[in-house]
Amino acid sequence: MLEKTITGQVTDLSTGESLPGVNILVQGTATGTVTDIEGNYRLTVPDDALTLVFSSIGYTREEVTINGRSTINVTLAPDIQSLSEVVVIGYGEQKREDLSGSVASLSAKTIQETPNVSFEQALQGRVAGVQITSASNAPGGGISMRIRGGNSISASNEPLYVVDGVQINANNAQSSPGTSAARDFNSNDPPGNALSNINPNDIASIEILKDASSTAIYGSRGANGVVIITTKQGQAGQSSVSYETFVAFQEAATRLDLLDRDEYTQHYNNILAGRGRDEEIPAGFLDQVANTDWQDEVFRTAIMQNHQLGFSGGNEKLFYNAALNYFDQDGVVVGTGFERYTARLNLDGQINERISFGNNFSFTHSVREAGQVNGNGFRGGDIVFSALTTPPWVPVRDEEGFLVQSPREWADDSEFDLPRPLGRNDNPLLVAQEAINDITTNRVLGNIFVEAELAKGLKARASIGGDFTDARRSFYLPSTLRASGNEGLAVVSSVRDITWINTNTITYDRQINEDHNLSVLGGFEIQQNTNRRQLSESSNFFTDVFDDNALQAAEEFERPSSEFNDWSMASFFTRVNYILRGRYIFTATARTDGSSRFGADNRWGFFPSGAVAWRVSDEPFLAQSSAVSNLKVRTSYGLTGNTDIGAYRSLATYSPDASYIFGGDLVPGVGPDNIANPDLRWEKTAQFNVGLDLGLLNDRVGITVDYYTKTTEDLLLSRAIPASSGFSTSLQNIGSVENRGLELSLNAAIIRNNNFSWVLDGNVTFNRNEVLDLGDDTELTFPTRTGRVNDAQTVILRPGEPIGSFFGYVFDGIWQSQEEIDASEVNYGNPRVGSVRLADTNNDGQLNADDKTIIGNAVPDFLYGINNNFTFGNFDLSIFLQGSQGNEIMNFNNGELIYMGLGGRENKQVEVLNTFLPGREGNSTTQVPQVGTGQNGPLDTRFIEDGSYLRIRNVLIGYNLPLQNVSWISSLRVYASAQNLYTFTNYSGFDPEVNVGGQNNVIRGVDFVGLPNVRSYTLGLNVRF
Amino acid sequence: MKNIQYVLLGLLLTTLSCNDFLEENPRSQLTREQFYNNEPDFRVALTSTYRPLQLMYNNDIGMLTSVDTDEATVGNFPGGEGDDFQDHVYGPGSNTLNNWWVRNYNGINQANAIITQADQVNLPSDDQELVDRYATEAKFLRALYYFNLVLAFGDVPLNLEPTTSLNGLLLNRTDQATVYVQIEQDLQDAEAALPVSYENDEIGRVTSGAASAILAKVYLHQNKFQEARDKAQEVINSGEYGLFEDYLDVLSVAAKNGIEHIFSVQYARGLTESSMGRLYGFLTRSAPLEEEVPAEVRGQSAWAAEQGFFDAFPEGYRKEVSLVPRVVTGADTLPLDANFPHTRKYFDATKIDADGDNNANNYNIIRYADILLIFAEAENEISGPTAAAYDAINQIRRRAQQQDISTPDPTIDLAGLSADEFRDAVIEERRWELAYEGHRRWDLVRTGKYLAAVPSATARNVLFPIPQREIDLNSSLRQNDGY
Repeated sequence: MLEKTITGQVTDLSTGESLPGVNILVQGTATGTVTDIEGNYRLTVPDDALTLVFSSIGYTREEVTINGRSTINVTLAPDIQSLSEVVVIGYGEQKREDLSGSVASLSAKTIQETPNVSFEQALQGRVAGVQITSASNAPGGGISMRIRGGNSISASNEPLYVVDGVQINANNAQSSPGTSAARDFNSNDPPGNALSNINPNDIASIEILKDASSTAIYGSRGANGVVIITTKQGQAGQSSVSYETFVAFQEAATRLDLLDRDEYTQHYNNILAGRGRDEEIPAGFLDQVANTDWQDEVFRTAIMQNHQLGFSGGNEKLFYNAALNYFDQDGVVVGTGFERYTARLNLDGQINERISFGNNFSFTHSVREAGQVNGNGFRGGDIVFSALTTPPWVPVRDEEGFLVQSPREWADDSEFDLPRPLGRNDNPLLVAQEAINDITTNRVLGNIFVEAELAKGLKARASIGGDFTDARRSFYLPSTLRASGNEGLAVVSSVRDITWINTNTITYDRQINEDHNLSVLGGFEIQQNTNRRQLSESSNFFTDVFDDNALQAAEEFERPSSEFNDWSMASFFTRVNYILRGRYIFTATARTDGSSRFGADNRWGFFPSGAVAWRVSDEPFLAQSSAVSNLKVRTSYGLTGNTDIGAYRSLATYSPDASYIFGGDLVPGVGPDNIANPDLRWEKTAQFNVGLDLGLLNDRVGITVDYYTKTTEDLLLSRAIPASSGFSTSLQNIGSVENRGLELSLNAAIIRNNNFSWVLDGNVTFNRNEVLDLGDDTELTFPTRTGRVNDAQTVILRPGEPIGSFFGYVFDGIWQSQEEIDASEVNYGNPRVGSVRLADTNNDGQLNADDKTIIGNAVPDFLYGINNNFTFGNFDLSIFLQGSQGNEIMNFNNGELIYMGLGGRENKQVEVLNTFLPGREGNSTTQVPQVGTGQNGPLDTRFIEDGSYLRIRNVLIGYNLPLQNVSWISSLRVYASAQNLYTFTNYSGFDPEVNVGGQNNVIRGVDFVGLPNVRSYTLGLNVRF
Repeated sequence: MKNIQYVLLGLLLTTLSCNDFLEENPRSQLTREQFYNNEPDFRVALTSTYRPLQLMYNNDIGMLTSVDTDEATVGNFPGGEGDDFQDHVYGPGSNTLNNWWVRNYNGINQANAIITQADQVNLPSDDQELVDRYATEAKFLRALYYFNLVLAFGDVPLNLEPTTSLNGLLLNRTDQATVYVQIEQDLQDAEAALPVSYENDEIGRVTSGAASAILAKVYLHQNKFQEARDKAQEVINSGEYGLFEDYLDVLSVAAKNGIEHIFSVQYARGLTESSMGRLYGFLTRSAPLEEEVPAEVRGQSAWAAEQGFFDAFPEGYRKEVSLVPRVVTGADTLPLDANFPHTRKYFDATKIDADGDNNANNYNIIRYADILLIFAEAENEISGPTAAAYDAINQIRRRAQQQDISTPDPTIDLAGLSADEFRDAVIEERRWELAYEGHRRWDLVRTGKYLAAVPSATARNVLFPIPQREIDLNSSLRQNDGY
């Protein structure tokens, strides 16, 4: 007998649990077995067998020499490199080890570690090459994502989001109902996050496609990268009920240092002195009135909670995953919040051996209480702005306990002779209590598919999917508020956005003997989107009782508006994947798209890509090495396009926007918008990527490096044309932008033994963005919201500089004396002592608009994230840090709170005490001009700050209860975590991650009445039965 | 083989029907084919052609004609380009000048489109009549826009065709004289064909009298004194227009579109409002008038009156209406430091403690008083100071002192002047009468008095620089001297 029997048990290295279903092979033979439910195995092997190979999905392979033993127990370590894991790619799947492109994956576990209203917050800092900024820190506030930098100036830079095969609308503005158009109401409500209507708890995995080889299959929608979201599917034969819940306590993480009552007195006296007045407010005079900390009043501890009930089960014929979810988040700023209900049903079924079908369906109902924040109703109605500028001696409530309505009126009525606060400010608590700004959204997202196996290896699949969003905004400012002009202002608006998509594919997979593996995909797809919106507004109500429910009860009516937009697209695509000898991988994709948005002459675009990868570690000279357990080099090149330019741009259109007044009435006018451009075509992005995946020490350490260059040409730009034509611009394809970068990620199991493990996971991204060419224009400037800064053209695009460069003057000090003014050789106009001096940067002897120069930009030098994951027994601890270095911010709040508007009635930051005053020490270095002058001015370098930060993003401790002995619960986990525990930054504003430009391409890194970052403490529980 | 043919045919059909699927059909906008087809189309197109007036006469005009001259100076809120115009350091990079260029040409392009399309369309006679009238209104607007450009920049590109393609955009600067020929032609067409007046709901449209009045001005600017005198005489004789008894009515909201107003840019409360009031120093929502301190009204001043102008202004009723010595805001404990004169002309007395910063005053492009002064000046150039010339200017002077305009008053009237003295007197009278109404700079430049009256200006400032943006985009344009 030349055989023997070997038995043993296989367990998980970190948890000690037995592992069923592990494959055991005698190396070099086909002899093998599988572990049973207890993890035990029994295998009869020939006597001369040397090595047994143990493998299981999700675990690293172990090769064990037999050495004459008859009992071999093995522990398998969790495979942190997930090489055998299946990764979702465009229109298909592939094993990670077979990928030739650059794809990053995130699991549900990582997503759910950061409890939040939508999933993108979980991505921040986790994936190399991905940058996320928020337009608003309010619940449901808009998010902007950049994968490998921004390509475009006029078309969208947001990636394509695909949920279960449906390409969805993630354009915040497109699914957000309009706001007030009234002339006196400063409407800046940044649109909410379209993705907040997708329940993060439903997500099984997220794949991010970064390079051309992986994104070109999406053709004209792939230029900005693709985010593929797969929701949790059921599994045949396994049924379970699960309940997941968390509750979080949130607070505003930062405060500004504003004047308190005594400091205000000092500041006010400075103003009087600055105006040459003799009087002073005596110290302590204001003690008779209140001492309110307005920031404390408007920032509150707010609760966020989530409850998810999931059911999955079924048999091979039909299995399902269903979930119900309730999510409620109060905002840390009063008057804001977000509440959401979601229901999901994912079905999969097998009609017969060859035909299967399925559907993914979700319905979401949400209400976002947008509040009056982010500069909405700026100058008066904005809660945070009012809180920052209302003086500290104004009380919240009057003697009778009612909320003070108008600080100005309260001061006027007071028995004391008080300075008069800004007339336009309302009591922010009153605004929070009485103003309504609610957006109710219903969204249905789903698809149905049928898949049939036509022959061996040949499958056909057809699916129809849709994304339907119906949103309505209810907006009302009552007559108690100055923000409505004390008249009452109501807006009712809605948007209905419908996208449907039909995808048909045929795939052929064939393994031709041992050496050749071929996989071919061909497909045809059509999509269509329609978007309808309307808005009605009226003001001057005799009573506030109706809120926005009786627009007809008002006296004045704004012109109502409605709008229709649509687009459609048809596409053919194919992909060929050929793997030679299991280690030489060749991939080619091609797609042609026809889009309605382009000129009749340029409807169709062609987007090919090619990639080659070599799994060096499978070569004979490395195959046995465990030091270098994985080594793959890959390179790809391809073309993708960008079609997201807004509809009808190639046509000459006329719009009803220009009215005039005849007979005292507003009369509509229709004027030409543009000159037709039948030549309008795609923006094209050519991307080259070279990457290296390295696994060391038996995949204990994994390193991925990618270097890429992306050049986007035929940029759609509003090219300036001579205005003697009657138009200022014409949309043309001119201009180009380049992004070059390096992505590094590291994944290492530093310590790994029976009871304790430490896994480190980090990534660094360097991206250089450069505008190459803007056609004939040497540069383009764009306006931003600026508040008191009186020059709106503060963002510039200039060849050689990155997108998002700031454009302004250079601050050159405060004029100290009349002698200094007289001695100056440069013509500064007629400055006064104590006023701001700007530099004559071009040295032409004049100070004028030609002295504006680039004074900063929003682009980070690099981004990084570091996650440390510890497990000890059943406990786990993870600490996640994330940061950005070198990005700058245009902080317009400085104009409101320090450098401008120094007339005296508003509250300010304490820096204002450092004002220039004749005879004061510190005059020569101060940046604050003489108070009492009320001087506004253009943008200068005082407003540009370093926005670098390092944030302790998430600290989580979890415990998995040991439940081997309990049969009716299969898992129970409890955890506690803190988000945004601390931020290390020099930025003086609320949050260095802010960008009120939202998804805008060129307005990046701008802070204007932004909201503070939210710190939260969470407790959670997941149980599965 | 056959199967493949079917498959290819299928694909071909799919592609063809795809092209239909991919056609664009905007529903919230009109395309070229859908517009300029019937009378309502032309009507709304014309309305849109009036619109640039509201944009230009809301802010820019003040910068160009008042701040730039001895009428106004930068007030309490400097910054923006006010300083640049006050000190004459503006360059081709000026936003205000760019706006002036862009807006006028925008109006011209729209007018061109209406005029050419009206010619090509064939409608039933009632509609055709209306459409032709619209086209004539468009001609007036085109003439006014070109006049604005020529005054500001000198030689400018002359374009009479609407822009429909990206070819042929690089136009040369056409000689002023040639542009004036076109302006005169358009105004003559307009005065011949437009109605003399309109019903209530059309008030604000161009009348035949407006065309004649602007034509008189255009002649005067070219020193065509005989034509200017005759044209002004025509307007005077038409009987359509007259002076207000009360000078206050000239810019008061209550008396808008009155007998003295020949053509004004329309603004209205709660609809499109004018910022002139605010810019010149008046935020009328700050307090009820009862709290107004005599001769001082609360305000926020971007532009103030030049002290020299205030001091030289002849005393009397007209001065009280036009100027105030000081403006304050806030309680007396913290007055805004605006202890210098401002113009009161754009004060909206009907708006007390109402919402918002802007007012309902119209902006006067031309009014009867201007015509009288044009007549006086032109008459003097031809025949010296005749009785008719004296009568014209004296009507203005009497009205300024709230006296009856037809009763001679030796304490007010001018008499016994030489032709040169009379000419100077008329220019002076224009200075007081038409202050802050968008005339000062053009008057100074055409009479050669600009550099003397405005010390900080240099020789190049007689013309504004062509916006740098235009120079950069159109290599055929040559910049004005000195810039």
